[in-house]
Amino acid sequence: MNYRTIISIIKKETLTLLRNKKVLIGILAPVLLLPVLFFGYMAISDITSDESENAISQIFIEGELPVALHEEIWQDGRIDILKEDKDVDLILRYSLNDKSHQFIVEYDFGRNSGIMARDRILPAIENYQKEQQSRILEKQGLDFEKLYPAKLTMEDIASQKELSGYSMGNIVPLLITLFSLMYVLTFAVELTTAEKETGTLETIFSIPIKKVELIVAKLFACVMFGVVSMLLTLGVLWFMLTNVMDTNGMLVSVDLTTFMALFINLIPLIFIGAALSIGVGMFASSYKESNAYMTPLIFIFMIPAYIGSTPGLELNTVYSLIPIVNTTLLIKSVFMNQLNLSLFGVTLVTNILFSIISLVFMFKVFGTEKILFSNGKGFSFRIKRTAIEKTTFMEAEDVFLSLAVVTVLFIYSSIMLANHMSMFTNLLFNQYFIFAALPIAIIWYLKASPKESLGLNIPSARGVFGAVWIWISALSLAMIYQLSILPFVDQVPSLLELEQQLELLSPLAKFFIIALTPGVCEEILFRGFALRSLENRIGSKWAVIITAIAFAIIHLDFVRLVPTLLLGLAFGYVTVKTKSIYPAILLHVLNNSFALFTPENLSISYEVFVPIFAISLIIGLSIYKEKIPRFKKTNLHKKIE
Amino acid sequence: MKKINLILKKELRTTLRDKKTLITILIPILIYPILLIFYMGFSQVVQSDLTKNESLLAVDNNVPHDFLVRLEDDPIIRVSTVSPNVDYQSLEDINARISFKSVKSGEMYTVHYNSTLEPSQQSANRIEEHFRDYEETIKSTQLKEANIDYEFENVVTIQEEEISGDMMSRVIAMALGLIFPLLIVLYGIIGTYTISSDLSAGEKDRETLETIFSVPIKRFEVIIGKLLACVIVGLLSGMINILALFPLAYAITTNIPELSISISFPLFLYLFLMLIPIMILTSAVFIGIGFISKTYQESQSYGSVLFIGFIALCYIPLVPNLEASSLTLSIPITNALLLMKEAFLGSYSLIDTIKVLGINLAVSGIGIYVMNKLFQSDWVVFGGKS
Repeated sequence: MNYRTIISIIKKETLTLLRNKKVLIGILAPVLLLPVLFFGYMAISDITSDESENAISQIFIEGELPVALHEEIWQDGRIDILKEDKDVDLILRYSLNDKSHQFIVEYDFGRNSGIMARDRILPAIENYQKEQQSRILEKQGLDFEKLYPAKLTMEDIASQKELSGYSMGNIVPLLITLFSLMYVLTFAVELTTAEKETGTLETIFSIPIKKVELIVAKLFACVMFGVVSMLLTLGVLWFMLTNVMDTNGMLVSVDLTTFMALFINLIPLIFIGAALSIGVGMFASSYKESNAYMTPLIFIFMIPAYIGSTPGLELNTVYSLIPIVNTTLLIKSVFMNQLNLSLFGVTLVTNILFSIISLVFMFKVFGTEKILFSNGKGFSFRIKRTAIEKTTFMEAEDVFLSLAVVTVLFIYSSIMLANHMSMFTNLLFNQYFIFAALPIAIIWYLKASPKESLGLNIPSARGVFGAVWIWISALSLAMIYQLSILPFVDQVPSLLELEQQLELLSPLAKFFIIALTPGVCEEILFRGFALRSLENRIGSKWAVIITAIAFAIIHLDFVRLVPTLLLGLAFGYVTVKTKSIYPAILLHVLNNSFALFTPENLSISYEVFVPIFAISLIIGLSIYKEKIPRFKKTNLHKKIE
Repeated sequence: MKKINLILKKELRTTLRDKKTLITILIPILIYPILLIFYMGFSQVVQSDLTKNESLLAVDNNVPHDFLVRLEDDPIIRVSTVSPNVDYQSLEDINARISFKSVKSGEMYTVHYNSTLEPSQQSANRIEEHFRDYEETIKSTQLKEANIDYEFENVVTIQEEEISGDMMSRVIAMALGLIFPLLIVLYGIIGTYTISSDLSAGEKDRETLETIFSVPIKRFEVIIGKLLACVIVGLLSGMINILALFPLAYAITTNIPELSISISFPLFLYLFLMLIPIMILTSAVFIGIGFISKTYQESQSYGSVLFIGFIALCYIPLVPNLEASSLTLSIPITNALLLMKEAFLGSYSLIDTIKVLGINLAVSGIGIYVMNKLFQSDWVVFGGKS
């Protein structure tokens, strides 16, 4: 890499970006719009709170209220007593039965006018209640003081500084995290898609610079602009908070060192955002297309940031390992003056690791000519099947679309049909119809070869033997993960329900429903239908990773996301190595049976699973090191035939 | 009309043939449910994590036994007794401190806690709950002894009731009434924003406008055709988003059978009706901007500023205590959202509906007029080279 070249490209990119109206608007719009929106919001909320404060509550009273109470309500200028119970904010029903005064206050909980009327009328009734009760107590020589002899005082020892930090701590960290991730999106699109759309990328590649230099320069330009616009927006926010809302206390808690620490931690996050959006931007060949790809990316950024800002959530070891969530929580801890240095370190390392992964992704995308300059063939789906040409494997786009449809159908079926079917009928329906029959039907419809598309090849004995070792290593790793999160995570309620239902079944039925059916059906979908075609179209590495992610997502279980991903990777790897779906089916059935029939009190520990993981992985990989031959019919077989 | 229809069909076909536009419109169906399910899963974990947290309390060693026992019996509270002289600040790993004084009128408890620390606040809440229980027991014992417990409790009874029946469902209806319309309108606007630039500035980029003008068709017809295409995509995009949220809504409605809003056909129809003028308004504005800009990119950048403005109008109904009033009903877009919220609460006002539709359509009319004026001018459309 030549640094001079990189710097000159950065200069060029900076100039282009600065000349770009969209970029300038992107940087300046928040600076101008934020104050307008801020003051607009304040003005409207002032007007409405004045309005609702001054609004007259219209109430209807049923029954003859005690005179004193009626007087009190009558004299309240904010209350208007109507003669009919139509269009009223509140209805007060009163009755007197055998010395017992009964008040029923009816109002609309969904409307401010109802709640306001309640807040105005209730204190009067409660006063009346207290008076009546006092009389009863007096007769017995008691009073409220004696009735409640114990007094409780709550003394909040939080300082003003802590309090203002706390009130800021729920929203500001969210904003900072989101800004640092989202700002880079616009710039990334300008740096990538724009070049593709104008066709200048080819020209750039024709001059003697390396791709790496170009991409590094683009990345830095993107990060630089991201940082600048983030700082600008934060500056405006800061100015408004300190000058308009009088929250000076908050500023004291953020001294320069802390500020620097935060800034250092945000850098990897900005790199994650920039690398991912440059990578994704490279997929798009036009602005319009980039819009389509950026939307999911925005969601991926937003959700963890929102989770991190959940009130009450604090940074701990587990959360510090989840990117984006960790940053939001870390900033929050700074605002509350509780910065923990070791967690700060873990967060920093995690984010750096993830930024490296994102960078690898970006470089991979940039290194792939296919993505840079050509589009795939697109969907092969046609309304008339006769218009579809025969093929061995489906197109990647077909697989992606089908996986999306399967996921949507699965979600809708498990939610909507759950009330009309028993849990197990629903499970079997999803497995056989959505996971197995649908992909097979799609293969038939698209005229792909079922044998090749599903990987219906008989594996060699060595292939199967290696597969078992790979599964053991994946399972041990999943166990290690489970051990490490166990102190923090409870079992998911839906799983508990499933387990209770399972108790009622015979072992054979359990095996059929939980082990055999998912083993066969899910493998048909993921390692057959999806993996085989993707392997052929986009390469085995990506195929394994993508199918494993889809496999993990479709289980719709947050807690088991990582273990399912690991198993998906193992099954995919085995399928690629053996070129057959059967080992994956075998392993999946084995895996689910293991989970099903392992005694609950089986103790798991690091001492057992770490060595098992290491040994089985080494054995599995060494078996697969050499090329695994396809199963060959022996001479003996041939003779018999 | 025929010509407008022709243009509309052409625009719709080009838009929907483009798989990227389709993806933009359809992606929520896949993404929402997955994200929602994972988000709920995570929140569940977080919540269970929070409720499981133990509270470590330092309690003065002179606290009456009756009260102390209550704390000690709670499995998530751990109590250590300390001398009254010990200061809270000097105690380590303690979430809250209870000090006690016996005075003439009775017992005086003081809880020292830090509201900015979640475990401390949680401990304070737990202590308060136990104290209320304790207080109640003392009270009812005394009343029973004096044999006035029944009389005391029943001399005045106050009962709060929800006018429409169930309180919980009312609150949920209100929340849904805020969120649903917001998402529908928001995604509708995003839909029009996404394709409007292509319909206007895109044609300039591709230099196809000249071709269109060479056929015997009035410019006004072209513009109305384009506008309708944009409106349809916007509506589609908004509706698809409702569909994508449907699993969630379904899960909520089936779990709370008494829910007073039935997510019914008339409600959908009403939402749709209120959405139409908004889509016309935003489409007209975005297409107009597209004509002023020279390129697709430029149109998107100008549009983005207005886009933020529109979004701000969508968020106004989230202001606490804001309800439909003569002021709020005169703000375009915001007014429709407020009426949609009312519809979720089951109240439809014909006069307000007509008023809001009228206001929004009038503003759209102005938008269309300006857009048409711009489109009539060669100087604007062809960038000065008339």
